[in-house]
Amino acid sequence: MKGTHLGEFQEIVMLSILILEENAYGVTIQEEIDRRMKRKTSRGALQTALTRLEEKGFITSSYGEPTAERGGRRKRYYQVSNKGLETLKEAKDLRQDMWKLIPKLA
Amino acid sequence: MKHPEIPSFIYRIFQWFCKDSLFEELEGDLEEKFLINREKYGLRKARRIYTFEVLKMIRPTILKRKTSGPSYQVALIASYSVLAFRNLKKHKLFSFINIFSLSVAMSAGLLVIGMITDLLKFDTFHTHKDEIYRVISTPYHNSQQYKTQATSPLMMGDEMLAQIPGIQITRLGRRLIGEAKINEKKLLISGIYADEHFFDFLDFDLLKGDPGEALKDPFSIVVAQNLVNKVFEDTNPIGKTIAIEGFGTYTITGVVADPPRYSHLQFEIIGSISTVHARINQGQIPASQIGWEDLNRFYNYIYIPGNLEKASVNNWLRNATTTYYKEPEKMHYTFELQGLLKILPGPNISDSIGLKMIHLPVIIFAVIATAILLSAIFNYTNLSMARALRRAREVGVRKLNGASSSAIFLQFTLEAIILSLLSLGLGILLFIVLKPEFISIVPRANQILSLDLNFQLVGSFIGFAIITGLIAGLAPSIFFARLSSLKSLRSGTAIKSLSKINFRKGLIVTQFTLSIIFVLAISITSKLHNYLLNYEMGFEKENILNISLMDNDPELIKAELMKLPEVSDVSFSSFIPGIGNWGRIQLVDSRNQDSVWVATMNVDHTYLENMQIELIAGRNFYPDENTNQEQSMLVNETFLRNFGLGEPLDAIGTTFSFRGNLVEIVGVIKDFHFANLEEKIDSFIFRSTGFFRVANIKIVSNDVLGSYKKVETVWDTIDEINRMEGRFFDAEIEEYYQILVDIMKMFGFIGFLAISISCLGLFGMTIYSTEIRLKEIGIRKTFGASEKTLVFLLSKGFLKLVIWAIIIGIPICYYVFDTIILEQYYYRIDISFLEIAQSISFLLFICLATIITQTWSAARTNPSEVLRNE
Repeated sequence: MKGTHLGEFQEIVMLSILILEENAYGVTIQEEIDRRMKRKTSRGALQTALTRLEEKGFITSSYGEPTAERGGRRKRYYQVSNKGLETLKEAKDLRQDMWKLIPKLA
Repeated sequence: MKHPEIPSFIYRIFQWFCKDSLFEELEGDLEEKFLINREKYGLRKARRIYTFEVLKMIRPTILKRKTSGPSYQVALIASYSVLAFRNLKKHKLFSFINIFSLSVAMSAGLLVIGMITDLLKFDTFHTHKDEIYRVISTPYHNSQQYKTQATSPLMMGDEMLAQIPGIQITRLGRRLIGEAKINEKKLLISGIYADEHFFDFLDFDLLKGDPGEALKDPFSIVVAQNLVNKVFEDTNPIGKTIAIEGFGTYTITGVVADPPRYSHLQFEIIGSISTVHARINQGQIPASQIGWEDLNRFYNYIYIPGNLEKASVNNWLRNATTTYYKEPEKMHYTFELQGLLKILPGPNISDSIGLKMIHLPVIIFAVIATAILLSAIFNYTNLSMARALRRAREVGVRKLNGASSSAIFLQFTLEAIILSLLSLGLGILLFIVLKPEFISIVPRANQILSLDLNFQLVGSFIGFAIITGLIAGLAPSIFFARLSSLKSLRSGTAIKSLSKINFRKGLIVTQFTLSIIFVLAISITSKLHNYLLNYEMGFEKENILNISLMDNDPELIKAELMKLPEVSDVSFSSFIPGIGNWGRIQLVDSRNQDSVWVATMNVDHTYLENMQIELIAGRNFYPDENTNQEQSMLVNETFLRNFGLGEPLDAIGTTFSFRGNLVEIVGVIKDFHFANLEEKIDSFIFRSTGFFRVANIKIVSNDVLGSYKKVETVWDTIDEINRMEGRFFDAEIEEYYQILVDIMKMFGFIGFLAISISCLGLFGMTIYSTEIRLKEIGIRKTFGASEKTLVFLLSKGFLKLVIWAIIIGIPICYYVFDTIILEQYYYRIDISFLEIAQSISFLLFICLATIITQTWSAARTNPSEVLRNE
């Protein structure tokens, strides 16, 4: 299901990236999700989501400077693209519209 | 670089499977996370989490994908194949040594594969092959266990059928064999007995006749198609009769298709087993034959559908021992089931029906072929690595141009496989040449093995060659694949330390260990053979011609033969001593009524003199002394000892009873080897009741062949049907120990293979290593080293390896022969220093010759030639 469909986990990943702003890379995203969702995600599962999102053009990435704490390896920072932001908002609007339609809980 | 506390094995696995484009990011993340976790949970948990994280990375988005499409792969393989051929062509010596040794070794492997393929086919044509068993029995006399037999009591089948529901049984009998008169033709036919259930579950096709009825009535017989074609041509055989001498006249009730080649049961005729009962009723054969005491003629084959009742059959068989043997301490049998497919190849049991082949030769050949093949594989591995110097540059350049490790691995593996396939071609040729010789060496193989090349066999040969290539190429491929391009492009000295000198030395030592084992084995076997043939058996074996009597009148034969001037005497006996068969009889000691089994042989009164067996006390038999009633016997010295009869003279007159007769010891003979040299001489008696099968003709002429012909002419006047079957006694004994000659031939052949392969390898290694050292030699020479010291310098290393091999190999071979093979013979040789010294000097000589031809020419090279460019 490529195209513009947004899975639940993918949505959370994008939201986490937005929350982390400039500091969104593998470890921080993973920790953010763990904290918010109160569950353990593996880096591997996260990578799948990131790859899919990037394929759809919802996020972009760029390498940072090498740091000593990572054995000299570069971090890869992720940003949400405008297209991604729009899709997120659409998803949110859709849900809100639907929430409004529920008679009793409104 | 990775953090030192991260488990490096896991790290390497991750590195191996992770996409290169993702590795830096992911590994960085994992390491950062690892450090955080270490702070949080401690090192052990952090490591565990790391491991799990890596395992969870195994998913399509992260796994390395083959960057190349299939067409690229094919092109790569094609290109590598071309390269492999070029390389083989360029390095002719290398290719020759490897192809030669591999193909020689492979031919041995092919023979074993062919043999195993043939054997595995046996009896698989039966639909219920996994549900058919036969009952085998192990006798115990006086609480001593004897060899297991394939036979079981004929009566057993009926009783089992009555007591266990849901099984089927067919009962067979062996040795329905004799001169037959069919349709006015006389010929020798052989077959088996079977009951009417024979066709119920064994898949032999009855072409004509009623499968349930054909073998029901006494004196009915079913004949095989082949015999029908031979005798009846186009006429219908049903209802015709066959008279078999000694077995009665039978009516043909059916025609059976010839038994498949891969059936352990082979027959031309099948007589109904009810015939046996009928003949017992007629008083022609003793009723004891079908009972529980005397069982070496009949077989029970059981079909247990779905193996459901197997437990109850086993149970029944266990209980049978206690049910049917009232005096178990004296004699009893134990019974067990043997699966149809376990019969051939099977354990070594006696009284078998049909074809037989035991496991041992298969295992021996398989082990030996593997050893030889490994030797050839080592050559390849060794020489390839020794060439590292030459090929390292190639690999370096290749890697710099972007070849991955796996591509280099593929290249070298492919090269090995191509070489191996080329060797297979030559190997198959050798296989065809060696096939007849091989079949003659394997005991009893001529009817069993065909080793015919068919599609399936060639298929498994090719598979075998590919596997051989893979194994041979493994070490070099890994070595070259791991070579770093930087190191390989630097000067050659860096490689030398890399080329696993110790590994190669180990391989050479293994090869020569095998070689020395075979050389020593030949030497010992040859000594044993000589020893056995020249052993003083205690009787005359020169100039005696033994002929089989075949129901002819002994007196008539003797009278006619004595007319020949070449014949000085003729005696008769029930069998031929010294070649492993003898009769047994149960004696009852008159003093205490103990019954004991002793070995026996029936002879006439001239036998002792003719065979020059020494009588040490008492007298010989008188002519016809025991024809009416048996009253005298001769015993050997061991008999006296075993029965505590004291001095020979004292023993004369002691009586024993057997078969209801009181028999007196009238003479004592010197111990002689009536059995064979594997057995210790045991209690033995000579009887003289006129039951003879063999005539022993003493020839006094020097013209052995001419005398044989004359005896044959006389025979033909007496017996018009049968051809004379005669053998000279010494030849007969020689033949009995022929197995040792066969073993020697085998060891000789294999030893030759092992040594030539090892020496070829050594030869190649010497060439490569002296080549590397040519400059060193040049320099040493300029400084005044003599040729002799140079040869010594170059040869020293290799000689050391050979000596190590000798040190390892000799004790192994000594142990195997001393405890396993020589133990088979009660009268045996010991391995002396001489054999060991002979083998060592032989091997050393060959190795020295191999090494020195190379080192000598290297030492003689003019230093100016090698040093000119420096």
